[in-house]
Amino acid sequence: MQKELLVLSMMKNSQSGTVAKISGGRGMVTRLEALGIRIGSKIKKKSALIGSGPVIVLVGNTEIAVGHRMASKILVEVDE
Amino acid sequence: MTILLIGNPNVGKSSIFTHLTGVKVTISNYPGTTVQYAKGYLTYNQKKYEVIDVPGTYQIDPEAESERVAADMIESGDILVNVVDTTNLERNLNLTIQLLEYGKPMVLALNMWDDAKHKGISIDIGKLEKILGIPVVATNGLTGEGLKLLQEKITTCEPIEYKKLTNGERWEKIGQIISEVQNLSHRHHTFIEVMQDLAVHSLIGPVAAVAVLYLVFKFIITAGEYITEVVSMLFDIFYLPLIMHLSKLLDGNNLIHSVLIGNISAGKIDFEAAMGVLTTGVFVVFAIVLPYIILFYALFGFLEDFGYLPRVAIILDRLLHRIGLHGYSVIPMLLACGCNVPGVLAVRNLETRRERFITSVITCVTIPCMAQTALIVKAVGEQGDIYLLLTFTSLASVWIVLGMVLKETVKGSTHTLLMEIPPYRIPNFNMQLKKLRMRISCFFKEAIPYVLGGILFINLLHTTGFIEWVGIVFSPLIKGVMGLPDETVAALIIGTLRKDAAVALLTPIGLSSFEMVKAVIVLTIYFPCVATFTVLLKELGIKDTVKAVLIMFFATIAVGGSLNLLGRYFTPVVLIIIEIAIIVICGLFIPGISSKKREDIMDDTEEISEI
Repeated sequence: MQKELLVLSMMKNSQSGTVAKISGGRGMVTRLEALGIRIGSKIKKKSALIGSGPVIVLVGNTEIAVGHRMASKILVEVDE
Repeated sequence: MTILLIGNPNVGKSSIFTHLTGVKVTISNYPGTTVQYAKGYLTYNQKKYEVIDVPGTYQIDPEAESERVAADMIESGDILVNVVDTTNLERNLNLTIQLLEYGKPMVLALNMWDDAKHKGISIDIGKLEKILGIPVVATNGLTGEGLKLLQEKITTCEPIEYKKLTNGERWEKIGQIISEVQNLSHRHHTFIEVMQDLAVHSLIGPVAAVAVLYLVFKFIITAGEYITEVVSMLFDIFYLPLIMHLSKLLDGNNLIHSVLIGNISAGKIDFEAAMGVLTTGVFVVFAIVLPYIILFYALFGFLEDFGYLPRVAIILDRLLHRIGLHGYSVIPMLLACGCNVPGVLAVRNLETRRERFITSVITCVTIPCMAQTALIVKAVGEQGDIYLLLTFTSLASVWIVLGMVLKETVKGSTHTLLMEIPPYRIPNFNMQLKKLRMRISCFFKEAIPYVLGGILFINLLHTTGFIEWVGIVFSPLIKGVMGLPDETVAALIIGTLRKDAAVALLTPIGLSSFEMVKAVIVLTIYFPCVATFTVLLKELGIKDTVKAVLIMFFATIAVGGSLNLLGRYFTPVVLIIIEIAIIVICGLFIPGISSKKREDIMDDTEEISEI
């Protein structure tokens, strides 16, 4: 069964899924990894600030704010 | 023996440190870096240990400065205490396993154990000890529970052996550990969690942030005014007779009298206008400035530890991108509203040179410190609320216009916002008090010599005629371009020492309402006070400081000149409308000339430089 792939910034609020791809340089990947966002992490989008503001996600028990531009480079396999 | 406390940021490491070491703590810079760390001592079973609070780090990656410092410190330490946030065990274990690889004696402190319990997370401590091979202790840094046991384990733990893992193997291992020791039980959202979600809600968040910040400043100013009134009453009752007595002793019009006490009009002393060191000097510090400083740091200390400030950073991220920054830059700027010095110091936490430069310039140019704000509110407020509003809308429009100019011209890159949002926590009252006391004593050390010395200095300059001379030299600029009388020169000179004292000097000149507004704006923009300038020089280096000073100079002429010009044709109300229009247009509609291009380039440069 084909699962739906979406970039983080385009997910709906309270949608969750698994990080499938991070299309950024090593710097960005390391910064995200330190906060627990890496390929295979479970991630849940909580909200996004109005006007292309930061995206708020829940990873494990931590809330993390991801700048909009970075959020548009994180590809998530959305849960059914 | 040296004990190192190591952990991710926001895990409550510092409160454990405070409990272990007590009061005698020194804060120092790690040699050759701007990274600060705290050091103290622990005595246990008649043995004395040195305890070092290593700067918070997510991983050991010698590339970033603070992480390189952490790595250096670990090499030289004897016993490692890894403090982890129990509610986030999985992510914290990444650092834990990297630390195990050092093979030093080590203890794991599962901090925030109570929080974890409330969140329905339970950890099997026995199993975790067995897997990791080191002692594990549940702790609560706020109350001090578990710290006795922690001390015992620290002083008895043994070196370990551990095989080095690759990144992938490490995460795999962490996954395994978590599935074996962690148990989650489901539970309902608490009230505090609902409030947390609302604070970063897409619409309610920004509205709430504006309301909170407005109320905070409104409260500081209203309560400050009230306290000032009470204190000046006390001054009249207890201090005035003393001064009058001294005045009689000094007998009239000699130099010492005019320096210490200043002008007496009709046998009465006006503390605000007398301009003596013991009259206006003392009065400005204690009655006008101190109440506001205390209120400001009490409220912001609370918001900071409660966890609201990071949320403000997230909400303002979009706006700050307009001026080439990201949300985190708002923290130095808010701190600068209290005093520019800690504001500029906090700039070092920003990641790139471009962010640091823009933030410090904007801060020095457009953000008056609380002491200055208090006196602006007093001096300009007397002319009418409309002039007060005009002052702040002017500064806000300079903020955004200058910011957009800097965004287009300053080279370098700006990172995208990426930050952990700490949960709300009710701050510990004693720690709040400690922090407040530290910040106030810092203000005293800094402000008192400058205000008293400044007033003395200006008194002497007056008697030697130096000020008149400078007034004549700069007259074309000050009178011609900005339309201010030559007498404001004295205030501008003193403003390089202390801005609050400078604003106080404007009142006796007898400026018109509009001149007053221009004068306080020019006074804010033209140059930082000497204390701020010193840290600016330290943080930016000579080359960038020279650039910053040039920017200030041209900004002063541009802003002073255009206000002077516009003021001839428009009423204050129209000016306010124009400025608000500028802010709204810049903030919402102008897309930025090269913003799209630069941001894409930024990402590439980031990638290239880090590979």
